[in-house]
Amino acid sequence: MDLLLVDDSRTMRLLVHRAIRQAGYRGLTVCEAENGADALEKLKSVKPKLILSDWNMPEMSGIDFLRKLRAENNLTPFGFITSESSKKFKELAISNGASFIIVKPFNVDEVQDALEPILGEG
Amino acid sequence: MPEPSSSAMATLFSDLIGHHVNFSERIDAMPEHGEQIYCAYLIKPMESFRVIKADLSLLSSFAGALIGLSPATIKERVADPKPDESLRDALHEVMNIASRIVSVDHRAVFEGMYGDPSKLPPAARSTLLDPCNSSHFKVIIEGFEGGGFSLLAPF
Repeated sequence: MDLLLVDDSRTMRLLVHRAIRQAGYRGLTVCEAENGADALEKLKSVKPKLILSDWNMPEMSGIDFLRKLRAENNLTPFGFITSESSKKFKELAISNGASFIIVKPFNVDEVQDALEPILGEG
Repeated sequence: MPEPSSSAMATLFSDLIGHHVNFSERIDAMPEHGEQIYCAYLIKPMESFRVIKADLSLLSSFAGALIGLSPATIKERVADPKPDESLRDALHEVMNIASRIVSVDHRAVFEGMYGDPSKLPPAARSTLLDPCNSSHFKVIIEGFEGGGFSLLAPF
């Protein structure tokens, strides 16, 4: 398992999938979850190299999901893909252990720049 | 309070759907073209609501282009009385991302999308019925159906 993709929007999961393929990561295995709670459940059976998560989701938000992960000493690299773009949110994400934030709408280059340090070249 | 500019809106939607989008500001709202959609945004920290009111056909163009549908397919799916889940989900995502340009100075959180304005949260309905500030735009999308788009604010 390479990537856990967490977003309540099926459209956004599809767009992220597409951007990842276009960034050259064609062979990645991707597991999907619809919110933080669903992702925590999936993580009982998968060990991704990277977690990509939305911020605003029902049941458990992305930041609560990240906090819960880190509280459990799960240090899997974590990035946000979100429409939250303010400095305050970026600082909150980084201080809680996120590696990067990709702001929606994003392009393929932004996805590639974020993924490459963690997954290597696509 | 500064209002979102037509160029900022055009840039956001162009980047989102990968087609050129033009927003031109008008003094009055565009004549309604078919069904309307009402989107409520909670503005923080004031806890007041801004509302986007726009032609369903226009917003469907954004949504359909986002997921790679042709203009003809979008029209067919919008006309079909059976709701199209993929188009609706894409429309929801478009309006969620639009929260970035709903307010210049404050955080806007997308609260929901309604075909019937009476279903809006009461404070959002007040904004719709008696806005203190209104910005109206004619939207043109390269290759797709455009339409009218209004942003209504309570202050």
